[in-house]
Amino acid sequence: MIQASKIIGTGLATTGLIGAGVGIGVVFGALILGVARNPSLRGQLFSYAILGFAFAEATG
Amino acid sequence: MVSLSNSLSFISSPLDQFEIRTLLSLDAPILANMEITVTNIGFYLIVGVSIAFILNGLATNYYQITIYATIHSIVVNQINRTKGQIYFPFIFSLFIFILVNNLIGMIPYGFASTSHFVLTFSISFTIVLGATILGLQKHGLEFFSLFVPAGCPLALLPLLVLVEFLSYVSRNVSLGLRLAANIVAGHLLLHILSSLTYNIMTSGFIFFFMALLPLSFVIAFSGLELAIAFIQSQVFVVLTCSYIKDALELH
Amino acid sequence: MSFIAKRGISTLIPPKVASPAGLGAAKDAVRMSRVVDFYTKLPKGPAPPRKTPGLLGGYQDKYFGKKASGMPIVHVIVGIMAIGYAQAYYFHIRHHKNNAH
Repeated sequence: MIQASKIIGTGLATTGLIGAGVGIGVVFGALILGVARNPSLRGQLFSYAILGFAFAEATG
Repeated sequence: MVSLSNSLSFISSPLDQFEIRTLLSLDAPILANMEITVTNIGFYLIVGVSIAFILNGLATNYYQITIYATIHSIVVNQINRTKGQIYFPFIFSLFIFILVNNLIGMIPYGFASTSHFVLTFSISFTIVLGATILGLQKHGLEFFSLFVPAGCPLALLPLLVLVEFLSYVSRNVSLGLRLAANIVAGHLLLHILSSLTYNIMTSGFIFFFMALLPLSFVIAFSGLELAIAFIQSQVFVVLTCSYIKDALELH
Repeated sequence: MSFIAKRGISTLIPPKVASPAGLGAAKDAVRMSRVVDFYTKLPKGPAPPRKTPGLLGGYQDKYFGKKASGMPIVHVIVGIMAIGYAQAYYFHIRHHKNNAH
């Protein structure tokens, strides 16, 4: 029983990754929105997006 | 329950891959029992640095020019078009060092030196401390205006200075933590997934074909980890540049 | 006045184009044969690629420069895998040969 709860707890602990996933999704969604509105800023926005991706990824 | 714990004991600890082992050691009963040791992290750091040296010596073309142009544009855009150029050699070698060590970690049976907080923290603390000394040397006591946000009401000043100071100090930790945590998390994930795949594959004939699904996940995550090796070294370098810029220009 | 008159006279005399010594031309033939000899001994065709000096010069000629390839990466990967497997075997694998953990 304790063993099973330990394993279930391990699984539950990984749900924290949901937040990192949402964060990465928001970052790249916002990148697409920004590039769609102003395609000339693509390079600059992409480097910011990579930075944001790394920040979001670091929490996961 | 017995069978469950049995099958669990099959899985070795996923943290085994980060273990530091002694390869060569010299214990001498002189100079307060000095002990000079080459561990596997030291060995792989030496290997990484020699790879970087040899690649930079041999590469006369494409290899170098792409990386050079990328890092040069980062330095120029982040720091300054004229004053930032002297930091380029430092930033370039930092990038190559982190990238090569990340990629050595991605090789099977390799060893991820950058997954060790000792290494990344020593790099990041050195960088932030160096940037602070640079700012103090350049601006004197005026450097502390970095902690005062422009145009804030006087009543809020103590609080804001405290917050800014904390955020400045936490750069030390966050810079190194981000790199090492990413590498550790990626390697743990790959190890857990691949040992799961191995256990499924060896447990029967039909299971061998069923395990092709988790195997495809392992391959996909390996690609992701390769991308993260590049992205993390780039982010490390970009943040280093922005810290140097903060010290040079005070906002 | 007299100077100009002298020059006028000198232009009147024709240059000495042919002489008995010049007609024989034996000296020039010897020289020409030496020149021809020198140029026939020179290497023909496009210049061979220069060898890079140094310890890794041959390696650099083979995989970098003109005919760049990705093979150095493969060499590094194979080398590190060999070293890493040796270490893993020494520290870990040989203790679990018959009993998996």
